[in-house]
Amino acid sequence: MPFDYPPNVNFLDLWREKLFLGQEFLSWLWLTSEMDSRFPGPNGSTIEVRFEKKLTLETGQGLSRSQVACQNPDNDWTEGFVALGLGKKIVKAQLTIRAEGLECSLALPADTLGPQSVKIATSSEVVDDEGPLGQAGRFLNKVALLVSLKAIIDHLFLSFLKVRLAEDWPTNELTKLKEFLEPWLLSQEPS
Amino acid sequence: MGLFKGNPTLNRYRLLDSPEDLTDEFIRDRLTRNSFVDIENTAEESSLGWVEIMSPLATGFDPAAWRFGGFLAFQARLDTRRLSAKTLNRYYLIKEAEIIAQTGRKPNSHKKKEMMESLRQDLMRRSLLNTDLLEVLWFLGEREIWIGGAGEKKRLIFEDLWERTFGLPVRLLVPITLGLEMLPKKSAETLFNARARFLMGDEDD
Repeated sequence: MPFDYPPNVNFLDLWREKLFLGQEFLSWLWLTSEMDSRFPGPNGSTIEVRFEKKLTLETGQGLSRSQVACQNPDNDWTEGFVALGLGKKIVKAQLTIRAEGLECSLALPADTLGPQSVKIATSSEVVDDEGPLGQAGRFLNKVALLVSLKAIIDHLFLSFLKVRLAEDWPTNELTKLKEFLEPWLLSQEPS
Repeated sequence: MGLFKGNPTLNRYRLLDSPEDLTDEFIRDRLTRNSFVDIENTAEESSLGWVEIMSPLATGFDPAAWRFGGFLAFQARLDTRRLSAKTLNRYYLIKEAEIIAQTGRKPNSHKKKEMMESLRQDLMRRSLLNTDLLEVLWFLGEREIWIGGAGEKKRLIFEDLWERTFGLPVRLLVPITLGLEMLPKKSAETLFNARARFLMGDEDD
């Protein structure tokens, strides 16, 4: 049975009110991937997720809203971990995803989870023909890869929703995430 | 960046009603009726309509050009031209100087309005068009639509043309709408009522 939206629900209001969902998802995905980059995929497969290069975090609301961009040039996320631990929210992340038959890097915004600037690793099956048939072949190939990517993002998001809505979320998963961040937060305290 | 060229970006929509008569004739008819109309040699400010996915110049809409097995693909094309008030005023002042030289008087307000409109039409016709293309993929089985782009402007272009063409209601897929349709009803209700609760400085459920 699909969910019945209550009458008078305004889509834009609902979207605004629940923006935290995508932010929490990206935060969960990031910290969990830092602990172990391999996530269980569909049908016993494995999805490897790594956060790369750049994260955009945000704090405050309305006029007091400010953003901070964290770079990861030497695999050092200290600034990002501290910002997250202090309550900033991830609004956009740059990540790589590896799964069976797919390897790509992309930006993922928290507000839509619509993949952006997707760079798909080229395969040997790329069609070289510059004519209309080759053009159509490349198009279909790209669509097929994007369909796979969409399925992976959906799978990861559903995995997050299941743990996020579990009754033991505060005592189990959330505690694990907080414990992961603790050393970075402690390292920032004046000695 | 769209879907086809370069590094794709996409936003997703869910079709809320399942259309009954989704024949090739129906789709072709709707696409043709709302196809892109060229405004190259006109003074029109903008034109929005469908073109074929493989060619922004083609509006024949033979089904082979948009039906790809389980999905349909076409592009929304938006041509726009802009004329700044500053440019219009500059040309008006030149014209006005000519009239003053001929008559010794400034044009009255009625004449000024006429001259402005005539200049606007002329300059618009001479200004270059900017073309935006937005790829649209319609996955029939999943009732899902992808647009090749992000941001409010692209979404509004799509929603406007989609509504005008097919009149079928769609909902943007964002974390909350996606989550509500992924989960069983009971969990979806919990999600609908969930509030932020993550790390520090958050509210309680």
